[in-house]
Amino acid sequence: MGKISGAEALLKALLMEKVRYIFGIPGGQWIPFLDAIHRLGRKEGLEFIMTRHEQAAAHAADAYSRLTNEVGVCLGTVGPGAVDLVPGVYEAYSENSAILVLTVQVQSWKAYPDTGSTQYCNHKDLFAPITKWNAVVSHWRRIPELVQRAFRSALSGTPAPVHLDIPVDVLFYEGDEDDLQFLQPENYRIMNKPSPSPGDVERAVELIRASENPLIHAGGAVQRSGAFAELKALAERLQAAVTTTVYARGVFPDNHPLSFIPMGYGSISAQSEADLVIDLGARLCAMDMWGREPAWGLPEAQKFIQVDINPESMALNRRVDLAIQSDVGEFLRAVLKRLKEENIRRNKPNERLKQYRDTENVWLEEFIEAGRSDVKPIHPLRPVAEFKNHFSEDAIVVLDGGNSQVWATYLTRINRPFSFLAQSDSGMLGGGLSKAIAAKLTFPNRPVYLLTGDGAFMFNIQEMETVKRFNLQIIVGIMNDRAWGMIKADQPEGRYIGVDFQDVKFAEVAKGFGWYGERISEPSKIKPALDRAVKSGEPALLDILVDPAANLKVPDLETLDAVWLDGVI
Amino acid sequence: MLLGSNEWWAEAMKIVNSDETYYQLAKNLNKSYTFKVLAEPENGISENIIMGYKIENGKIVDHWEDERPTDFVIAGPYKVWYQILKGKMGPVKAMTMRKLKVKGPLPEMLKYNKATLRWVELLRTIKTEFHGNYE
Ligand SMILES: Cc1ncc(C[n+]2csc(CCOP(=O)(O)OP(=O)(O)O)c2C)c(N)n1
Ligand SMILES: [Mg+2]
Repeated sequence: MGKISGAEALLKALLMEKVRYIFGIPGGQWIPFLDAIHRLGRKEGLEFIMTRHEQAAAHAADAYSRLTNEVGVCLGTVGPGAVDLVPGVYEAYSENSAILVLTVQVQSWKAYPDTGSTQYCNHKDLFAPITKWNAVVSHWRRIPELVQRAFRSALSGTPAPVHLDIPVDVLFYEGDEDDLQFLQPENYRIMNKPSPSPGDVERAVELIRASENPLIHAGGAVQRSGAFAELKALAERLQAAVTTTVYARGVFPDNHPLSFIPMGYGSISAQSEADLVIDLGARLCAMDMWGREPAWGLPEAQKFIQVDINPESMALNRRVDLAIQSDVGEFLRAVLKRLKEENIRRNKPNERLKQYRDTENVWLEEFIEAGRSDVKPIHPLRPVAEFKNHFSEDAIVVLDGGNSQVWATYLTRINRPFSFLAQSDSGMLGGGLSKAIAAKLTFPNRPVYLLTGDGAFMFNIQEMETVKRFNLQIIVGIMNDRAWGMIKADQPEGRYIGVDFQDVKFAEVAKGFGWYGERISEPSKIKPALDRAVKSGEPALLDILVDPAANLKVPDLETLDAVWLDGVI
Repeated sequence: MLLGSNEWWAEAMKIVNSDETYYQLAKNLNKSYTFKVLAEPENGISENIIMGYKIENGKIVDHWEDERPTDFVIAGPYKVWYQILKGKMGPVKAMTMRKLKVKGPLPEMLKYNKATLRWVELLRTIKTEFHGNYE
């Protein structure tokens, strides 16, 4: 075999992992790598997706990973480019997304520590707290090995970002390809997923047998294991209520009679009363109200089985009765098999669920009503309802913003897996449009829409150019209240500070980017505008002027505050 | 009117039972409640104050001062009840933050959440005198 450069070796190692997209912005040091993609990568199906801010690249890699269960890859140049990636990598870290962050470094003999190079930055330390594992690729020989190690780490246990920092001389160096070992994934990482021990399965079956009112709480682990059919089978067999984390929405269809909306009153009711919780990979963090009463049952009255691939996630916030280290899909299959053998099933519907449904319906009533409301200015729920009604189940729904995202959660319905992208544990505003980009690239035939707060949208508005350049028909609805609504809502009335914006004519901005754009201030005009937007065949933005006063009044903000400011207020 | 006194309850019943908004929200509500307002000796409240009452079809029909079995038992320090009645804290927040501990069927509580909010709004209109240092 012949000579291979570091840049080519990096590309080859990524191709071995079937990487389809690398999101990022190049810098001078990356030129050999970009050139390798041009010459060798594209014909193998790898595309470089240039974004207009590195943060967007990281968000896109995150979304790609969430939608495919593969590793999303993003890249930034030395110093500023790397630093710009940070916000997006933070979100991926908080949301347990497997992404590979690539940064290029100044010459190895001038880095760690610095000798005064332009743009030098200690990337290794910079990314350490927001990655699971990171390394400096100290030599050309180590490229394939460290890429493999990065993929192994990103995909092992709970997924998370990993990072490689590559000095520029390593990319330029050329050596004999024979000296490098490129391995297929199965030759260096575990391809099977861990299964529960037979003893654990028996104990779980016994707890299930003894339970009158079980509940299944599903986290992102169900998405990663792809165990949608198994989850449904178990729920139906036990007539168990199913709730999900905000992140995992879609792993169980919202329109299933056993399903309850995350953080809604039906979910909270079911979670508070269940005598057994089968927790599939959720760590019961803030957005799950810490797994404690009153939103959940008292440990004396509620048995808890926690299944997680990562033993370190066990009982972080609540004691458990049975801690099982396993892939949730393997667990579900093993338990279902034993339940069938033992003929354990509930033949008639669980009467209590009716009450939870009732409670959920009462809670939803006013939202549904507001979603139909013709009041002017537009109630924030009206666009949410219009978007939901307009698009098919096949749509990928992206949410971003403060109160706008809370509103959107109430009336959005997700019936399929891999159809929902939002921030949850990260609370990170601004990634919406970039996530939509990854969604449309990954699934060009599925509709993709983004509902976003005006504040959130502005964080990465420059990505409208990326959208247009790749001709991605993304439909954006801005719920424009000209404010950081969620923060304003918590300020003392009349003493608002740092929360109000100037009017921005987003539809005009959209046109400037070559998008279709309309501003809407009448509730009845949302639907026809949406029709025109879709028909335009272009990326389209609807700037919907919502009632700023109504946007301050999300009914459940109080509950959210109680969770976020626990122990302080 | 001293919080929890007969006079106070009479006023509460008068206001709540004549409020149409509350009635519309609570007309199917039939539940009994115990409030335990926990002592705070450092603030001059030496004993727990117990209040029980019963709602039938959205109207308060009875109240009492001893401990009886009820559908719900809601307990918390005097300060929290004070803050709620003064409008400084919402009841939902107090329960979510476990400043008020609730025993009883949460689904029922949540189902009538709007009724509870209206109920508290109405109680806030009473000229309540508070115990100990909360006067
Ligand atoms: C990057 C980032 N900065 C600040 C915040 C704090 N924050 C939370 S919600 C919010 C307001 C969001 O405003 P907008 O997107 O317009 O939605 P609205 O609440 O107005 O509907 C802010 C500033 C955050 N979560 N993330
Ligand atoms: Mg806003």
